[in-house]
Amino acid sequence: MKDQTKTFSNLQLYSALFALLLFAFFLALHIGPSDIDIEKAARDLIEQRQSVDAIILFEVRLPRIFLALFIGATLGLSGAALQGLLRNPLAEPGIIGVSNCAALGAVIVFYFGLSGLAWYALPLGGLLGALLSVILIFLLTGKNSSIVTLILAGIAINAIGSAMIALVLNYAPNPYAMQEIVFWMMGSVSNRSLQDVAISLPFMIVGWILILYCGKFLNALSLGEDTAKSMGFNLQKLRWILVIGVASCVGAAVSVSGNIGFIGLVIPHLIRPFINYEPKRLLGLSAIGGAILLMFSDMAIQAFSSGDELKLGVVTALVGGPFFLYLILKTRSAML
Amino acid sequence: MSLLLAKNAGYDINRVNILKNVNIAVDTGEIVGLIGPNGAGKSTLLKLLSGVEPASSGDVFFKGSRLLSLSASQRAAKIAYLVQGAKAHWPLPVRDVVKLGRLPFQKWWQNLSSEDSSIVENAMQKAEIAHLADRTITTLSGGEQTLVMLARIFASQPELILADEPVAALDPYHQLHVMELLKTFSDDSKHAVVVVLHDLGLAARFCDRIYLLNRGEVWADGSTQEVLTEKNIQTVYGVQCAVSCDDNAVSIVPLKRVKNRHLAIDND
Repeated sequence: MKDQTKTFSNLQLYSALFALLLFAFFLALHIGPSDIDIEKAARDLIEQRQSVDAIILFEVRLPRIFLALFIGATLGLSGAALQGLLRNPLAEPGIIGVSNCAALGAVIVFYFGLSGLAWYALPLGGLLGALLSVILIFLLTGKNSSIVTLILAGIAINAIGSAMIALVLNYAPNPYAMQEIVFWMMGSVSNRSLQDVAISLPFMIVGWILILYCGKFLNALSLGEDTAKSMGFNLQKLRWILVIGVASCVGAAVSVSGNIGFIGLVIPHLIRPFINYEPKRLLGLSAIGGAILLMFSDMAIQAFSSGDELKLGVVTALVGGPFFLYLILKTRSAML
Repeated sequence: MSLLLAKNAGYDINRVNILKNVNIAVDTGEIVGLIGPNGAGKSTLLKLLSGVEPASSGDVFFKGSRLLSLSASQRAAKIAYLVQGAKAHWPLPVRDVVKLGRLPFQKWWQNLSSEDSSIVENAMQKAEIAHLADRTITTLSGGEQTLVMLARIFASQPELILADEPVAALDPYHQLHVMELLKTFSDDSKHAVVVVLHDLGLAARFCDRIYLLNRGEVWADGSTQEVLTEKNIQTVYGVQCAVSCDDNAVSIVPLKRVKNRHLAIDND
């Protein structure tokens, strides 16, 4: 740990990240299994001419890019928020079981065919599942910010979520439905439409706003709960706002993309040293960082796999898992 | 009118009586010590006095109005609470920790004004940690960390400081340093300090008045000479001790435990 602190201004950091985000966006437009002329496609789109290039751009590439962007932002932001709330650098929607329970909520909606009832049924199912898990985490860890309690609670909630999903799959009407659900759960942003983006985006935006509203509260929490209370923060109320915010955006994200893990773990960790660990500043920067990371991960999948595409969630888990182990080893001595 | 007043304050957790019928009055310009054995309810009492926890019975008043009728941010602007073993959960720069003291005065969208920043710098000077401003708090010694927490409290410019064992686990130099800072703060005619202490010698030396707590009740209160008697200490703490005064300081030396201390007080 460095002793003397060094600061980067918000302007520097945001402009660097935005530049990277723009670069990722334009790069992503050009990457995909089929070779299309982007300029022509864009022109066709604007002039409303039917062409293969325009259809691929509008119905394949754009939904995929937007989903990677919004879901990456959601995961980065909620990772930073949960870490601030639990005062623990290992908290992350996937690790503490939020993603799994959101998936459960979405699977139940799928399974009972509720998704036809209303456009918001699927993200709402994800939201309710996520909310349940965050409340459980809260009851289990309480005021305790130790790693051990958090990880144990995460294991328990993940196990419950998986078991319930397995239960639903067990009664799946046919093997194809089961296969579909399993593939969906592995996490991916391919084969989605702009309608999927439109359905989930409102929930994500509400979640982002609720989380960003709690920035100062997270700063105060870095001195502990009683101190935050004595500084005039309404602990009960703000915790709920934050928890509902995380549940809303993660629930919506998972209900569209399935489980994509570890983004919320890796990104805040990479950004913290640049901002002297301030929880509030971490939020916005982690959102952009998460978006960038997920967009590049998704591009890597498309560029490097031939035939059957690797699932995005599988790739982030393969890379994120060892990173998680490294973080545990690194923080073990400091936090236990 | 007292700055802070607790009237018959009580506190229960799961129907267990932690505090009962506590009456306390704190005036401006004084530093009041709360002493008592482990589990006497000192920390809980401080939480009631700060408004962090509501009293189960009785009431706490700040400047004549009910503490809980004030909004949380109104309380935060007047009363600062230093928790026991205060520490930062992230390796934050010292200056950023002190800046947290200005949080009660900002809306959620606002940033520090230049006035806030100068208050922060002043607070660091007052706590004599200006030279540590750019260090990371987790790399500081326990004594230095306590001073940083005190600077955070000075930065909120409170009228009342409630400090829970601020000198526990500090070396004599830092113990004196922290107590001197609190004393200087309380010497202002608008300010007051309530401090929980285990070191009876320090309590005798720095406090204007002392409340001795025993099993959730005020056992004795008054000037240090009135409270810190060999008899009181023996009954409440269960130790025989030698109290001696000279011109410079009171010294209280614990000599020997008294057997069956709890049987001596009540019979449970």
